[in-house]
Amino acid sequence: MLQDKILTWQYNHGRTDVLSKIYRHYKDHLVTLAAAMLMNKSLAEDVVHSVFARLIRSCNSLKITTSMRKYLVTCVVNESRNINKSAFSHVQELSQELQMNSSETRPDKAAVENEEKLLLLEAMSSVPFEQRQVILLRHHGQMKFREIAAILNEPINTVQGRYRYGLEKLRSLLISEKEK
Amino acid sequence: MRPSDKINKMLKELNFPASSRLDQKIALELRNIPQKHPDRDMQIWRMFMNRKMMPVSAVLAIIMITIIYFSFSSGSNVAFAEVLKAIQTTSYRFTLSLSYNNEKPNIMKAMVLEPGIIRYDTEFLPGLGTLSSISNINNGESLLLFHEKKIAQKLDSTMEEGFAGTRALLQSAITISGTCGALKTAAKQISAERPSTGLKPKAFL
Repeated sequence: MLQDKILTWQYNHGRTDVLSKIYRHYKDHLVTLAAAMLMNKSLAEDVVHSVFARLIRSCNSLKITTSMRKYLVTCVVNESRNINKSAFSHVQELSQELQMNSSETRPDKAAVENEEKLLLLEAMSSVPFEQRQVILLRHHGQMKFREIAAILNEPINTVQGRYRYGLEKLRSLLISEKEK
Repeated sequence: MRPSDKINKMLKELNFPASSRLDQKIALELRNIPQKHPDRDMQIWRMFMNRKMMPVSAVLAIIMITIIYFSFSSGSNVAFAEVLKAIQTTSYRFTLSLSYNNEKPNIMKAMVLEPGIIRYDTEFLPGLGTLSSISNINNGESLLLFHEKKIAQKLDSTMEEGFAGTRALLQSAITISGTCGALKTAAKQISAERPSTGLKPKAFL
C-alpha cells in the first residue's frame, strides 16, 4: 500500500527511473488478471504491454490521481473488455502454464492442485465475461465492490448481482464436474 | 472448507507470470522514454515569472486608472467630465479583475473612500496575505499595508506632466514589485532567525 503510494508520487513527479520498478512490481498481477479474464495468456500480455506502453509514453504529461495499482487495473480491465470479443479461449495453454508455476513441491499434491485449477479455469471460461471480471477483481484483485463499480463504471448493485450469479454458476459447474 | 472458500483460495493463488517476451518489449519501450520537452523548464520559469509579475500588473492597473484620471482631468470631453465629477464627488466600490494568459484572475476590491482617495484590497502574492493600497490621487501619495506582516510603506510619486509623469509612475510600480519580492525573501529570513536569536522581527523596508 505504502509502496504503491510512493510509486504513484514518484511517477507524478516525473521520475522516469521509477517506470521499470512499477513494471516489475505489477506485471505478474496484471498478466494474471488479464489472462484469467480473457482465458488467453498471449492476449493478456498484449493487453499489459499496451497499458505499460501508454503509461511510459505519457510519463511527462499524465498525473495519476488514484493509486498506481487502481489505475493499472482499470486500464487492464478496459483494454480486456475492448478485445474480449475477438479473444479465443486458450484454457489448455493456461493450464500448462499453471503446471509450470506450481508452488507445490510434492508431485502428488501438485497434480491434485493443478487438476483443481484446470477445472476452475474451465468453469471460469463458461462464466460470462462481465461476471468473470467481477469475480476476478473481487478475489484475485482483493478489491471492494465499491472500487469495482468505479472501475467498471456500473452501479454497485449491478456489480454485486454479477458477482453473485457468477459465483453461483462457478460453484454449480465445479460441483457437477466433481460429480462426473 | 466451503466450496466458495476454496474458489476464493484458488483464485487468489492464480499466477501467470509475465514472459521474457513481454519483459523485452517493455524494456524496448523504456529505452524510448520521451525526453522532457526542452522548453518545459522555460515554461515553468515563465509561469514563475508571471506570478512574480502579478504585483507589477496589479500596481500598473492602479497606475493606469490614476493616469487616466490625470490625463482627462483637464476636461476636454464633456461626457467624461461628468464621469469624473461623479468619481470626485461620490463614494463607491468596485471589483477589479486582473488576469494574465488565461490564468486564474486576481480579484482586487476597490473603494473610493472620499473624493480622490482610493483603497484597493487584494491577495495577489501567495504567502504575503492581504495587501491594501490607499492612494491619494490628488497629491500622488500611496500607503501600502501588508496585513499579515503588519508592515506599512509610504510611497510618494510626484506627478509630472506627459511622458515623464508616466515614467515616474512606472518606476514607482517597479519599486513596489521589488518591495514585494524583498518582503517575501526577508520575511523568510526573519522567521528562520527568530527561534535562535529570540528577537522580534522588525520592519526591514
